[in-house]
Amino acid sequence: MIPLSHAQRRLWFLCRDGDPSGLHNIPVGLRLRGDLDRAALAAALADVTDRHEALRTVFPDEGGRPRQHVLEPGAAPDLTVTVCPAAEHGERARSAAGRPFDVATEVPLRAHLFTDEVDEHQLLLVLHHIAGDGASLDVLVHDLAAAYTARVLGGDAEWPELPVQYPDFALWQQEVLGDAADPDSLHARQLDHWAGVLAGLPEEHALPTDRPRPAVASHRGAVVSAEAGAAVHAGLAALARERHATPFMAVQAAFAALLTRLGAGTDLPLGCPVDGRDDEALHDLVGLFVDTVVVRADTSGDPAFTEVLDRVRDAVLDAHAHRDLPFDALVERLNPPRSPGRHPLFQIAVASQRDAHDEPVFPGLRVETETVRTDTAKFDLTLEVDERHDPATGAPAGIGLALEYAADLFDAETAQRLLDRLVRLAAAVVHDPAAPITALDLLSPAERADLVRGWQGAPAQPHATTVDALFTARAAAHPERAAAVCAGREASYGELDALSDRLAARLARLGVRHGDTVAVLMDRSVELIAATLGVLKAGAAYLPLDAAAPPARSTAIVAEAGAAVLITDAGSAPDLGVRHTLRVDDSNDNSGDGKGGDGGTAPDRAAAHPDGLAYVMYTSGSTGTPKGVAVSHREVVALAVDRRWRGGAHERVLFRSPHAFDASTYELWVPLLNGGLVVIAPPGDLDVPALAALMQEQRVTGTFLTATLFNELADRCPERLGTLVEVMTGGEAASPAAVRRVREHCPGTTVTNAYGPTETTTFAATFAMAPGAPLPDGQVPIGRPLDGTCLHILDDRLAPVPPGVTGELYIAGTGLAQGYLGRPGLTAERFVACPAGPPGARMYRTGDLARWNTAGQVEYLGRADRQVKIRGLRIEPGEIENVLAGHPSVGRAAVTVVPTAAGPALAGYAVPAAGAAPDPAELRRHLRSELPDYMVPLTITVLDRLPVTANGKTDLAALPSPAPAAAERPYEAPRDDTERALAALWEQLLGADRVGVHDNFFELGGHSLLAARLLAEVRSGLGAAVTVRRFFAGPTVAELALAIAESAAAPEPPIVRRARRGRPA
Amino acid sequence: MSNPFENDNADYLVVRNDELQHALWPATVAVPAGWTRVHGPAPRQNCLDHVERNWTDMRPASLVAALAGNTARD
Repeated sequence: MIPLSHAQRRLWFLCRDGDPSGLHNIPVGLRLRGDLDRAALAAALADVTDRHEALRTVFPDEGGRPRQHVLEPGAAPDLTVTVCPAAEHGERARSAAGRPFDVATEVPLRAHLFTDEVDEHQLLLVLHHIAGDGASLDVLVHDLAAAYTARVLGGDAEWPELPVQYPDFALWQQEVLGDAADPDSLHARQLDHWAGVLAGLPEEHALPTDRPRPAVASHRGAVVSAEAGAAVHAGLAALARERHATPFMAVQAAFAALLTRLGAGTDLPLGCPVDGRDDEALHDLVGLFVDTVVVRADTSGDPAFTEVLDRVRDAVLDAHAHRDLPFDALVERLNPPRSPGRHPLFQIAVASQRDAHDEPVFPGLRVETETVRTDTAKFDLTLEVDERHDPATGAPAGIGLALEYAADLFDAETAQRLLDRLVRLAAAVVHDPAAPITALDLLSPAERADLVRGWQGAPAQPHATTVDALFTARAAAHPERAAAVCAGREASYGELDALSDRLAARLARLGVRHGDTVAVLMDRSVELIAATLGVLKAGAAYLPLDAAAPPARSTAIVAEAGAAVLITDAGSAPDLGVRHTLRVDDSNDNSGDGKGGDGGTAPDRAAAHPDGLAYVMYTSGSTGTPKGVAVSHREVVALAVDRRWRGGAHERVLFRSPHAFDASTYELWVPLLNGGLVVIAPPGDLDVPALAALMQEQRVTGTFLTATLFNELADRCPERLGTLVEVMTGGEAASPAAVRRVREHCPGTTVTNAYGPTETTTFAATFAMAPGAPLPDGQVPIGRPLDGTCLHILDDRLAPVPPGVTGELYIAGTGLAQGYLGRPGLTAERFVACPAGPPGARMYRTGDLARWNTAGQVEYLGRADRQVKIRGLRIEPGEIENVLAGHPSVGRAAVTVVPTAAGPALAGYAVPAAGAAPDPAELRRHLRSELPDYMVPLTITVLDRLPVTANGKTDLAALPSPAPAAAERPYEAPRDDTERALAALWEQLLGADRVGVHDNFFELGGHSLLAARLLAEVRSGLGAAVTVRRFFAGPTVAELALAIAESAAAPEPPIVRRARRGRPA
Repeated sequence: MSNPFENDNADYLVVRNDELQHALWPATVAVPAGWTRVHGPAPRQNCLDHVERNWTDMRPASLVAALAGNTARD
């Protein structure tokens, strides 16, 4: 029996279920112009097939063990002839090139002739990879040309006899490698070497993709191309020479550096084909001599390009020195978690195109060799490097670059951008090879212009005024217009102006001066608005306090802010340690006090300045100590006059946020400074129906709802939002399901995702989905910045990252707070120098991760400090939450990291969507279909609601521990005959003691060829045909039994067969 | 990705602009236009301590000047 070579075994296994897309076909096209002798061509084809045994070998198998079966000479494939116009040749060749082979029964070569029957012909040769490689095509074509020439002249092909045939090579390879079990064999020694080199390899690359990886790869693909010019080629060649490397290694190193810069990490396994035709005897032979080695490129520590090149050179040389080991043996030994969605050990490959040979000579015909592509991709990305040289001088003439990409994961534009960036990076390293790789410029001038200007906020109109001055101007213009309404009470602009004047006078009498801070602790009311305005008119900044906060916290805040006066209403009378408490209620305020009294204490109006502070709002810091965000008048005015509020959506705005939270800045000042109306929600927390009723009754046009509230409304009564012109949500990542629901029920309402930390005056960016506008796929962006505001997404050298790459979000321009009151150190840490703005500008460091999508919208990706590493892989819990929340049965989701005996693990939490009952097992299946295995939480706990913090955000620390039972997989005995038979089979194949129904085949030491044998046994013993793909998707006894049950339509009764073969039952 | 402002093992600068606002800055990155180094390179905490000691009036200098002008006119 002739065994398969190792590379063939691998191919055979990959094609075992068939190869529907022709993934492993290698086509070549020959355009032949002139007088073609068809009979001679057919005869030549037969000659070539007779000459090379590999071209007439089929691969039958017994019990999952394949062998090479060489057919006798005369087994040549037919030359199929299609008569059609020359214009159709290319397309017809492409479609024929993808037709699959059945290598068990069919010879691995096909020949098609497309001809217009005059003088335009296209000869398509399709070789199955199991019978050859790229170099084999050259041999094939040249032998065919020689045979055709001889036939045309009426003779036989004269060629030197081949010293060996492919089966000889397969046997020789087996001998040389020796027995893996013999520690002295080449096989064992190389295996040990590789196991060391590749220890701890990441399961898959972390390069961002356009779409999540499907559970099973479709292998659909396409190619984009680019060209590095002669100067760059020469530069790389010179660099390579200097470092004792090849130009191809320099391209590999540049590619590795690029992948790192684009977010793929710093430990990059690259698959590289190596040609095994060492022996002279193999040179003229058709056959599969190429295998794959893994070049583990290390880009850690932000090295210079020259250093990356040195590392890549060493890795390549080392890989070549140990390339005898079959790739499959390596996979079996390292046993990485398998998935039919990705290639094991590497998913990104780099290949060097061999120098083009001379065109073959067919007498009487002009010949042009053409590349024929099938629409497939073997890996996620394959970079093909084609170095060109000046034929006369041999000088570098440019590098042709082609990138084959998996269409499951990438769009053509993304692949093209990636390749263009490689060209740019190559030019940059030639220019400055000593620069650290993160300093290399990857942006095109057009992208830079987009990032700096095009996608940024429009220039803001300068408004050097104060909040109270702008309000007073409004009041003077339309004193009678309603400014606020609360539980039936309506206050006009004139009334509010007068009320606030009186309050300002009272504050002045209490000694309040410009630059002071006045605490406000009041229920939502007209008086609250008057008090707030009064504080501003007195030249002070308001310090809104949260009625729900413990008095100790409020006391601490008042002390830190240095507020001497507290304004409060009758409802609350805490002792917060202030010098004066000013009580405001209707009766009090209408009494003599309001008339201005003794005079001489007019508010400090002259000192009003737009850069004076308007308010101080305390937010909880991650360290636990609250910090007071100090915001000037200028920034509040800028928010209010932003052009996005125009158009009527924000004329009647609901005031429902606690005064102490920064959403109240929008709720008060956007309507009041634009002549609109504040609709005041009654004090206390409103339930959802009451809130909806109030909005409807008061014809509210615009409102901001926290994500929690928005989701609840979306769940319970989305149609009630239909009276709004615009509803904004924010504070946390928007739930796509909730947004979709609201848009379905409220077709006339604009739904806006708003983003902004308190430090940038409520909103920094918004993404509005107007009626009829399409809902984006996947997550809802946070959009683009407000007028005058800039969003910078920077890497850890504070340089802008290219679109699509995750970085940290910094906010500059309009809206920046002055800092944290009385906390210079903390302010200097978070409000830092801006490298992109005008000289001396600052930017706020949000601590949020974000990226620009290709449409120029920003996507929020969670907190930087939530990023975790599990099994060496970087994970954003927010990304998992997005996918979990994308399941129709889930309303809200949270993901945290919990400690387990085996190290940190992910724990998922889901709150049911309205009327749904999520099933954790189903949710994990959903996650598995959209995310890589390592991102699927070990447990999913269903909760009635997620715990929330005081300001309405998910309180991750307060999530309950996941049920421990769910986190482990105990041994579970087989439950029926099928499972018992399968478990016994596994024990036999794997040499395992006790196989439980949920044990993973690969974790028990199984590998792909054992899987093939297992499935062959299943087919013969149980009469069920289960595909490898299906098995990979669930490699457990339980899942396999399920797959067998699914294929139960099979007519053979499995019990009988099993009994006959004497399998233990 | 590690944030360049959060590395306890790296050196930092304290930089100051014309408004006398102070900011932390990684010592390995070029100082942006309009900012002057006033302290460092030094460990992070050392820089923050410098800021605490020296940035005593956090109001922008132009505001301080404008208010002083008002007072002078009074």
